Amino acid sequence: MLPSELLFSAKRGAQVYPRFLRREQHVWAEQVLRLLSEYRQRTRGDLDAALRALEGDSPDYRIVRGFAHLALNAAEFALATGDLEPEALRREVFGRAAERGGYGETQAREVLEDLALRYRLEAETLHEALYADLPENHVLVAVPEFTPEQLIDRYNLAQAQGLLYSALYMRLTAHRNVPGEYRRLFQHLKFHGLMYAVEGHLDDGYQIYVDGPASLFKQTRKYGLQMAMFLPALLRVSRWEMEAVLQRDGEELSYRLDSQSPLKPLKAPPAAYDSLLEETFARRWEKLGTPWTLEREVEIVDLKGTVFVPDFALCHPDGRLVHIEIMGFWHPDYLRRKLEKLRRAAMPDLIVAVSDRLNAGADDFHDVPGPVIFFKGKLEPRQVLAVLEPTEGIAAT
Amino acid sequence: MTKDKSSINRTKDTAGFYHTGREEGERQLRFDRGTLLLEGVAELPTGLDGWFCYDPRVDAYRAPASCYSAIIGPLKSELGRNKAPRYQLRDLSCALEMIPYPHQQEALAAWQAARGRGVVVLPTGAGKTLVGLLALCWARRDGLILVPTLDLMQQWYALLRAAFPDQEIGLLGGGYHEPQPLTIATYDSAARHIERLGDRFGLLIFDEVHHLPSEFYRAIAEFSLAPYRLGLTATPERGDGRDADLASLVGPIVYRKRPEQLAGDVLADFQVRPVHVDLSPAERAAYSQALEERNSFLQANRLSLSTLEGWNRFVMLSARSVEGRRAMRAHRDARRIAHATPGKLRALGMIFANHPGHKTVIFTEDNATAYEVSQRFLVPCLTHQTPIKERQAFLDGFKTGLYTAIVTSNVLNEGVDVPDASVGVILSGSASAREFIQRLGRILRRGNGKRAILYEVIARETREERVADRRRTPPDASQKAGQIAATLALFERSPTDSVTESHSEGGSRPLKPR
Repeated sequence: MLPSELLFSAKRGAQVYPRFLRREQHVWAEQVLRLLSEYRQRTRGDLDAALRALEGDSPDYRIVRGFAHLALNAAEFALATGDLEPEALRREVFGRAAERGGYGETQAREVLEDLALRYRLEAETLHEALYADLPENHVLVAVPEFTPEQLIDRYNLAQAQGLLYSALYMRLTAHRNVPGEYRRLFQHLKFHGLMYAVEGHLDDGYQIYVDGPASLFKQTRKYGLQMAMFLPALLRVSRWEMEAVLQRDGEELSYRLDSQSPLKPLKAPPAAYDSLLEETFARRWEKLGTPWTLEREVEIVDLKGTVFVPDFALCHPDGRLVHIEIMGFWHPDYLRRKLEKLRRAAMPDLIVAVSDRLNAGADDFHDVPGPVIFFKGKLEPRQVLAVLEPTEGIAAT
Repeated sequence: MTKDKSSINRTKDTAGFYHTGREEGERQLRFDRGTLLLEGVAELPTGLDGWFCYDPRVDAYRAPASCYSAIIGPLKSELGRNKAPRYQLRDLSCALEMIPYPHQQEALAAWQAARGRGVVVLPTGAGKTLVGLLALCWARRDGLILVPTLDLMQQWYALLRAAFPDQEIGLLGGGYHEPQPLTIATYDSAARHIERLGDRFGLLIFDEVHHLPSEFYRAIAEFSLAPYRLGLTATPERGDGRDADLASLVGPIVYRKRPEQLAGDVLADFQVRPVHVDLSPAERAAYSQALEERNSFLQANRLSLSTLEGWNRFVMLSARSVEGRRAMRAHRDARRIAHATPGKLRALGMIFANHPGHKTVIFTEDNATAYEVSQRFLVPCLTHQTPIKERQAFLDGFKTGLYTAIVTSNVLNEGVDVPDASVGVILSGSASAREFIQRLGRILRRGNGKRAILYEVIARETREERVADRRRTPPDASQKAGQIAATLALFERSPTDSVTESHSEGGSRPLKPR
């Protein structure tokens, strides 16, 4: 992310847009990266001066600084003095100067020259080494291996994030995403200390209203930074729209972004399935030759503070819709929480398939309203079909 | 599909923010990320609707954490369980034998009379920290002490360890994250973590409380449920007027004494001696050229730096063109030349020679000048970058007399003990009431009737002279400060451009005559 002073945005009416780089500005990324690799083994102060020279009088100076900020965040610096520890050196030098008595430039030179003899160094070198641990005297030892394109992607993402610093709340619309994407979306919201309320349903998608605990009392920008940190997680969802409401100079502005934007996620997209168990089940369902189709767009149940997102939906051409949740091998604590969710979600049209490795019995599920099936090893699609077809009673909604 | 709303039983989820569930139907109050959550009630008990709002996101009632002491009275009888406060009653007996001065006792009494909520205003050097210690012993609750700098963190740490040898003292900030029942935190770190810590302390002590009302820091007060709150400062006023919010965040000003009210008693007598240094011909030429370049840009764009708005427009325009960038650089160059002239370092050498063996503290505005003084004279240097242990070693060395001089950028501004300094030197600085009073306070500590000297080294014919003028006007008109012939001509038509100097957090402000 970037500090506010390096952010760009454009305002049109009550809309605000992040200003992504123009084609002709891309060249700075390459120049900054080249400068960094040229300044390996030189001080941060020198590098900073070179960066300032690079920006020169150009009105693009904030772009240069933005690239430098992001690249330097991923770079490594070290002390130049090797074995000579600046803090110990200072203790010795200041101690000797104090012992000698009387502060003055002549006295200082004597102290340093005297000491330089013992260290077998030039007095000037000692003079420099005194503050080698200051950031500007650190030496650049490792440069991030970004391509210019990667740095440009990071820059544009950072601009998009930066607008959110002043966000009061945001409204997300998501539809036609696989269950794992929804789960991760809500996990990330929660991880960043944000709160959400979910509305909508399967057919038209979901609206997720995002703010923080104290937003209830007054509009606050307190959670803007957290929303900015959350944005990269949103980019890993397939289909979404975002509208954030920002407060700037006492004015409310709308900031929109969607999955069509040129922004690229930093990490590769996650695997399509959360587990092999699910993946195998999906593949084998296809071979079953039943009119029931397996869908990955599922119902999301807002449990007030958390959500329940089942693994699959099963749709029949006659309109019947059933959900299925597969419980493989989990940690007991996770099982306990999952059971809690199943009880609270109370979906009568939800089939719960439980692995016998789970150490859970029918008793554990007595207050879960839908059918529960137990399986050994892999979940057999026929076992599920057997629940679906002979029992017309579960065809709900 | 139906959801059974009656049996909401929240459990700890993956991300770790949600607490373990509650018994069905039980009325309980708990702390949730800087707020209070009232669960298990179908309707809000009467008299609480001014504080609580229904939160549909979690199907419960929510209130700001800071209103805890206001609501707990009426609410207590309604609750099955009160899980909100995690702080404890703690019998803090102080192992230090210190007899408070009358003004310290009066301050504590005034704060107690205000039911443990309020701000105490005392000049630097008048022992605000001891008032805080007395408050801790009186409140007998887990306490969080907020400080703006690592130096102050160090000072409180040393004090609390001496006062409560059996207590672990926690630190938050400066590389530490160890909350304890008694914890010292920087405002920065506390603001970051208060959502998770706001239920752990019954007393908050805000040292240098004028930092609190900023948009980022105020959350510390808002997201805490601590019933007891004490603010300490020499200068509650803020440039942005937000000091008005202190009353709701901490409490009203309950006690106030000015330096002159305590001067004969606690603070040593002092005198100010301005020292003027000339720029070298080369520096003067560079300075004039830089000013000229800036001014022609200002003229061409009809800008004046005499208002904050003018300055903001200058910043904005300077980002848009090559000429603007040059003008801004010229402005900065001019400032740097005026501040860091070698002439000032020569003047410092002279002061050293005039006061051999006298304990001397040198103040600089920027780190670069502080390091330059340190390297040139081999004087220990304190900046915000100095590692904590080294900082302590230098201060200890200065106290014991191992070092007789110490140079510092702004870090010593606020409330850090530097006993026994008899000579102060301000090498460069900007006009700011807070800064000046606090800098003076550093060397004006109670001593053996000694007369402290504060040198102010000013480059002649730069705008610093006017800055110095403004700084000196109020504290004591009776002082023979010496006439400063400020030459305004070179620094053109902006007699009050102090705003250009004050973009730091909190905003400095020029002194107004009292």
